Amino acid sequence: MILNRNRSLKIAGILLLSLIASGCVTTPPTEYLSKQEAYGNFYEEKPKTVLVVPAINHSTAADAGNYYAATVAEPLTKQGFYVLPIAITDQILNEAGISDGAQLRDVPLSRLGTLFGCDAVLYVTITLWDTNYSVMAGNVVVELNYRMVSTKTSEPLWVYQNKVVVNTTGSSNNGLVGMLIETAIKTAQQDYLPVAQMVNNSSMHTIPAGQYHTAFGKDAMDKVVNPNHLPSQE
Amino acid sequence: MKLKLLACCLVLASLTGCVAPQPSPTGFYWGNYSKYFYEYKKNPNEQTLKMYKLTLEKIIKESDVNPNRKVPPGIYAELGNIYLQQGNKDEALKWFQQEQIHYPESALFMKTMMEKAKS
Repeated sequence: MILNRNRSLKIAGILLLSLIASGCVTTPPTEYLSKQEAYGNFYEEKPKTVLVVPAINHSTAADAGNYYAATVAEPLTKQGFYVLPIAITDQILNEAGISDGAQLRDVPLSRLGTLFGCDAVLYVTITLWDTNYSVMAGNVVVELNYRMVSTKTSEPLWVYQNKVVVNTTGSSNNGLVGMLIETAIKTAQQDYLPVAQMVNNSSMHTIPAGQYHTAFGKDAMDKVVNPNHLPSQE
Repeated sequence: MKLKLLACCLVLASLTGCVAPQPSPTGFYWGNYSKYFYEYKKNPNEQTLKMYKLTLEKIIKESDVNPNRKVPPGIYAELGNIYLQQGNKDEALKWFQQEQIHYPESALFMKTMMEKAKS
């Protein structure tokens, strides 16, 4: 019996470790916060329209901002929000000499609100976008820091920090999705789009649902926010 | 036994992955938007613009014939903006209006775009 127990424990431990290594589970679900606990402001303001501004890119990948811009609108609209057309808002900001979100630091939120008619602005800082290679293995590590802020009160409405590690070689232990992504990655130039999609999709389900989502107004008690993904207060 | 159950659950969890794509309750249909918008954004040229525009038109067309699909926010407007850049103001206005009709919360921004198209 004792032997059996130990073996089961070992197996569970190894599985837990592999899950942690794949970057998915870091704390037991019991410690997750409800959306209301994590993002109380959001439920008070109920923003409908979101302006996505260019990423603040601190990574070594020059193209990371484009990958982000091309994949952020889909999950954000599917979470129920009106996202201002990024192709146009990026172009307007570009014409004003702004291609990196860091340049917006001194632009008052209320001004962005009046210019674009938006309730909230989504900033993102790309802290990591690394490709690691060796003969036997490779991976992509992406870390994003999201911050959605109210244009009315300048208060943060949703903050989330997410790191995703994707294996790019060998037989995947990342599960089916990992394998699919791996295959996609190996195929072509489009390499990083699935990675960007993965990190955006896996972050945005924690945003309180917007008006176009069937869960609008019903998800406050959903315990889906991992406190480890909340950036430490500045 | 409990431990075995736990182990099984963990195996299942690792098999299903962490971000299994789910059908959206919003019905928004994005087609191949990410791929072709990315290519255009990275290398704006005639060919990438053509593919990006085709993608937008395809999203609209395929949503029109499928009651389970909806044209997501911004698609009509982005199509209008392409026409605006090509100097086709009438087409631009038409699509900006479509955006506003489908998404009234875009009114302020679409007004700006329509004024730009009329000037």
